[in-house]
Amino acid sequence: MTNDILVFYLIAFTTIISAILVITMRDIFRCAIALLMMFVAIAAIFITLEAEFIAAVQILVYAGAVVVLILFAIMLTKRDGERDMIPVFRGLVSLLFLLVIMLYVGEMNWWRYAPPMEAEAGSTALIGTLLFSEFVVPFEVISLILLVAMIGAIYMAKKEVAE
Amino acid sequence: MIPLSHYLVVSTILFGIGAYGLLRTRNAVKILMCIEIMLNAANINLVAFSRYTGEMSGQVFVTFSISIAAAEAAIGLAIILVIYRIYSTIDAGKIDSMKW
Repeated sequence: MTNDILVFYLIAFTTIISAILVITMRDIFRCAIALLMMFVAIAAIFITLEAEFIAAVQILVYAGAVVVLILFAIMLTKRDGERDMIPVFRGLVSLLFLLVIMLYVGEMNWWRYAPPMEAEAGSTALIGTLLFSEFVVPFEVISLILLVAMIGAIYMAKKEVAE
Repeated sequence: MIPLSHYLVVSTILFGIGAYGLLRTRNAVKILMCIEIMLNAANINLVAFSRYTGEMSGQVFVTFSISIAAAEAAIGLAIILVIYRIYSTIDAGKIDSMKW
């Protein structure tokens, strides 16, 4: 009982600290590594929610593909845009936003929701069933979007042949 | 068992951090990284609600959201490469040819 809470606090702490590192560190390469750490910690949060399939997808897609893409973009471009801006106003805007959401979370009494005791065994099979029965049209649309994104990315990043 | 509000608070804090980073930086790659943080915060919410209400469609939507995020990252980074080729900078404050 208390072990669960402790592990969750540890994971949440890691997530938040690495997210803070992503936005505060000067060297953008290190930011990308902190982002990798955050993705893995979020996969751990998914595991505490007993969503193993989502955790695996998170590791594969985010920690595997997105971070590598970002690292490539960092290597292929010059590091700039790091000039300091006066962060007070922006900080205030984000803080206000955070407070509003926190108040909303507090107002709705979400902690009344007790988790259902029995976890559905084989949740991955259930996801697959839903994906190919109820959500089959969105699934096809998503695959089309991925194809279009792939072609678009290749077309844009391709070097122009000199005439 | 961990109360649902814990997940909501973590996800809210993550979203706030992402929003602050988005407003603070001028580096185009870092802007994309902050967008990824905010998308992940939303995913935590979806999975948490799906677990606590016993409705599996939340996890299906997270699968969709992750694929959209992957497509967005690929397109965004390709756009950044093209911008870098044209302007030889990725400082979002200096790319202003559509500003008047």
